[in-house]
Amino acid sequence: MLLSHVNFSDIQGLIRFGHGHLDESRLHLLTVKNVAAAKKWLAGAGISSALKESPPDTALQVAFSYDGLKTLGLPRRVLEQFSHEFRTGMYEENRARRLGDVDANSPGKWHWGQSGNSPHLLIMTFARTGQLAAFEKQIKGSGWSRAFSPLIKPLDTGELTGKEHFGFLDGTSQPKIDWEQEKSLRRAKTAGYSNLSALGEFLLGYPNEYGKYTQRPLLDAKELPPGTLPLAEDIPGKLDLGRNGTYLVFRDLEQNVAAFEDFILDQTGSDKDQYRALKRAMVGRHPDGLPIIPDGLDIVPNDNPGQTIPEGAPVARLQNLPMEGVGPKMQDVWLNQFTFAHDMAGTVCPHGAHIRRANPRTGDLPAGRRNWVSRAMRMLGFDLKDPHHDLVAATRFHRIVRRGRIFGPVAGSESRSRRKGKPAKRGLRFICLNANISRQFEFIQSSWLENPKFDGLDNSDPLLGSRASLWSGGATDNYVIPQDNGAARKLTGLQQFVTVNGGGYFFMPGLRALRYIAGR
Amino acid sequence: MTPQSNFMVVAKLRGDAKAALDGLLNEMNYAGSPGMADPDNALFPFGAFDNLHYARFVIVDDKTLIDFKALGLPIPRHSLTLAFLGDCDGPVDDLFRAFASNPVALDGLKKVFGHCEGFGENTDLVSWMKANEHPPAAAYVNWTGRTVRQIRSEATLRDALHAELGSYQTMQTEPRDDVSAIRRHLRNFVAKNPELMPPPEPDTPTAWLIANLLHFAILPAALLLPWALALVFLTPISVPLSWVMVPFAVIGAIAFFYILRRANLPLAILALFALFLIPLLVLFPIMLIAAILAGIGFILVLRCYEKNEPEIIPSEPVARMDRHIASLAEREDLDVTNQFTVIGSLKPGLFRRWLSSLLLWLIDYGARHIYNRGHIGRIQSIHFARWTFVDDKQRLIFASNYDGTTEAYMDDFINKVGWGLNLAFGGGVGYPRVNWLILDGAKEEQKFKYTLRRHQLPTEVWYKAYPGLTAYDLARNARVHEGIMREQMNDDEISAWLRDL
Ligand code: HEM
Repeated sequence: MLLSHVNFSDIQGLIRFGHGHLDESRLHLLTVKNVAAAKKWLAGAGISSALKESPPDTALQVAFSYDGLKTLGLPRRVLEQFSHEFRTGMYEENRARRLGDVDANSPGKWHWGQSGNSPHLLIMTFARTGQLAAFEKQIKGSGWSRAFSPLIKPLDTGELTGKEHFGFLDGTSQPKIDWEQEKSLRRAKTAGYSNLSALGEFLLGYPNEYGKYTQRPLLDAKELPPGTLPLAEDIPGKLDLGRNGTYLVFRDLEQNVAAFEDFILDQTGSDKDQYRALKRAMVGRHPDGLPIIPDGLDIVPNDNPGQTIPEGAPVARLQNLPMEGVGPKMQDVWLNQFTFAHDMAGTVCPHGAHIRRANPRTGDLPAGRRNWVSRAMRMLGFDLKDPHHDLVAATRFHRIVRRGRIFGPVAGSESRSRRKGKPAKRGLRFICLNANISRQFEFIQSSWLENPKFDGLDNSDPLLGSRASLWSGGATDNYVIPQDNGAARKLTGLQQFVTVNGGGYFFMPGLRALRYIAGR
Repeated sequence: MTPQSNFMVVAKLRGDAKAALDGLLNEMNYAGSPGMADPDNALFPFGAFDNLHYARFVIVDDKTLIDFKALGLPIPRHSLTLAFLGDCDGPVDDLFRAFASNPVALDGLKKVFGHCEGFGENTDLVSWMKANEHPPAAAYVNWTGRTVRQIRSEATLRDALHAELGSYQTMQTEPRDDVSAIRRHLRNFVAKNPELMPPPEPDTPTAWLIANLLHFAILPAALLLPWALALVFLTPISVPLSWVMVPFAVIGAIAFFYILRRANLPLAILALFALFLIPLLVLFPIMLIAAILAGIGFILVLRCYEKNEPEIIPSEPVARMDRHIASLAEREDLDVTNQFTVIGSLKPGLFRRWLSSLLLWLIDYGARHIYNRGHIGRIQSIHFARWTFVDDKQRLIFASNYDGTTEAYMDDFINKVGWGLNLAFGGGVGYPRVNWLILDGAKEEQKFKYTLRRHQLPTEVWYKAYPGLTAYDLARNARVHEGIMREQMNDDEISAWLRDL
């Protein structure tokens, strides 16, 4: 099979770039008012591609919900080939329960996105400081208001300080997309953790981490004039509507910064060191992004935790032990060249820390000696060294590219005495991209972040958890910090710090696919 | 130790009983929670039987029989059946008798089975259930010998210790890291509250022990058989037997102790016996030739089947599949553990029938003797599982109880034990193509997930005796229990033990 080169001009820019230099951004949740006008606007809109970060001063991206594609008139046989999750929606009752969208998070309480109140499309605008209004005016032209009605007021985003509202550097860790399609999926290569992710995990129409093509809509080549859509690589005679497109997951998350700060203050009193220690124990990183692992100890090459670096090793040593998909920038090495393989007991970074839940950094096979007998033993499920060993494996199938932005004013120091009046609304417009929503976003959200029994625990994510109690009544509003010597520190009474205000699944097409959607 | 056993009663439904039975079974569930049995429901009080781990009622309505059309074969006709299955401590006969002597349960079961053919007013419940029992081809128990009583009392113990530890720490005068002081305190606490200690388990029934040992001996004996044949009927090549054995004795001893230390005794013994087939092949060239010929023969036949059998993954109408998935999903992720029931047909032909029977026998053997301490292969999240042939081995039902979401379960299937799934289900109609018995198959991620979902049956009623507890929790609680009983522990051990609290 010939793997064609990636055509960046057919891919929406957001997948490759976070548009981090474009300070202003707005998210328009729209319904289609007039189909013909909508298509006309879309056809002429000038959606930004991934060719280069250009035009440098602005960017424009678009994604459609299932209802949107239906409204725009995609034929049923095409619509039916989209994934089950996308078609049935984030708000579907059983899915909502799995994702932790219950009680205060339940779709019935959402501001947008629930059944009957869902957008048809999401248009995202980006511009340099002060230029967004002009840019929007220019792109809207006269067609916009004839074509679309806003479902709700455009969602604004906040200043790009790099930090989210709880005070941590965000976007520190992202999977590295294998644009060159060079990653080897051989068993020996995938046994350890790698940060390099197959292109097919984030773009439809390319091989994913299983070496397979994720389900997406295909059309008969005879149906359309040649060149309208890219050819499917895996099935001859088919056109690939998904190719160069991806699914965009949007969760509108409100952060209760005051409750979060209060909780930590209540637990730590006036002790500043304790305060900082607890905060980073909940996230798994220091506010400046550094992971909480003992220096050097966990910075190990793939599948070979036997080979540790002595404490306090000079930075240069790290370069000799590269981790696939990390670096070469030294900054990235410091921030991301680590796993939790040496910390099975969680005494360095608690099992429940947000980054350990969201990316447990495990390979396909639990770590162990390098000889084949040991490997065979581990494949058969033996030779486990710790009760936590091998509970969570094969992280590579559950990665997402995060492209969210904060909203609301940046929280100042939130010491209680200085707080006045009603707190401003602030939070995260969480956006992530993936080719398989159920295996990537939903898996992380439900099986890892929200699942109270993740990795042998009894609680949900310290930042995001819904705190819903178990069916049997057991509480999940706790956080456990294992200690090296002595009993674990257990904190109880965690409030819900993050509330879901809306959400939806969108399809972000490649640009040829967009022209097809708009041109039919 | 009390060994676990299981039962599965399967009976045909009367002509039009499905809707009525559906409604009746649903009466066992909590209102508004399809599939989740109320332990104290008025129809069948599951909770009254304190040796019952799991139980479920499933109406077996196999919608995948149509796949035979794609094979160019007539569509088999199987009538709807009701399956009642469960796992318990001690012999099933005792459990059935307990059902019959509980007036509510007796009445309820009579009402339920009244919808089945051959069950009338005056049928004797116990003998009817036994007559309709289908023993599993393979069964897995997460931890052989762990009883419901033990699970519950260990959970109580752990909760009590956890609470005590919390209040102790707030008043603690010793330094926090004086772990042996903490342990002393907790042991005193239990000594003062002896009712917290789980009662000692009764002795293992001798008959079971002997039967289990004999069962284990089957495979080593089978591995010795070629030796016996060779020594009786064949002359070795001129090398003296003893010399050939020396290096293998050394390698065997090393392998034996290595595996013993890392895995367990049964696996070490099996490996030893398997290893000693090699000198046999060296000494008796004719054995080598026979082995090669048999191997080639088997591989040729296997590959011939694997390559020529069509892979049929029929696409269901989208709306129907969506409805089906919703009916499965509404019963899932309510508690921390989920049920899973799938049915499928075996591919036609004697080869598949024999191969599947053999492979499932081996899986059963493995589960019984090797994987009976907390994991099957690399999967630690399954409490109980079984594979049962029905309809004269034309179809296979797989039923399990597992922790976490379905997506995570399938993820484990594919990534941790894909080879095992391929062994177990490779002979099924509609399963993604398997090569060389263990390759591919489950690795066809999306086809595999689709096939499993499509073959899955909505479980009408499902009961679990210890809601809220995962297999990990059970193992952890057992460690806590063991730790409190131990006389001596060093500081590292105590710290690890305290982290479990
Ligand atoms: C308001 C809500 C959230 C806050 C405040 C938050 C905060 C953070 C922070 C501070 C980090 C560490 C910095 C980094 O590695 O980029 C992080 C990492 C991450 N978060 Fe979140 N997050 C939120 C919601 C979510 C959600 C909904 C998901 C997914 C379902 C998610 C998935 C991740 C992932 C995958 C990582 C990277 C982990 C790694 O690769 O090491 N987060 N988050």
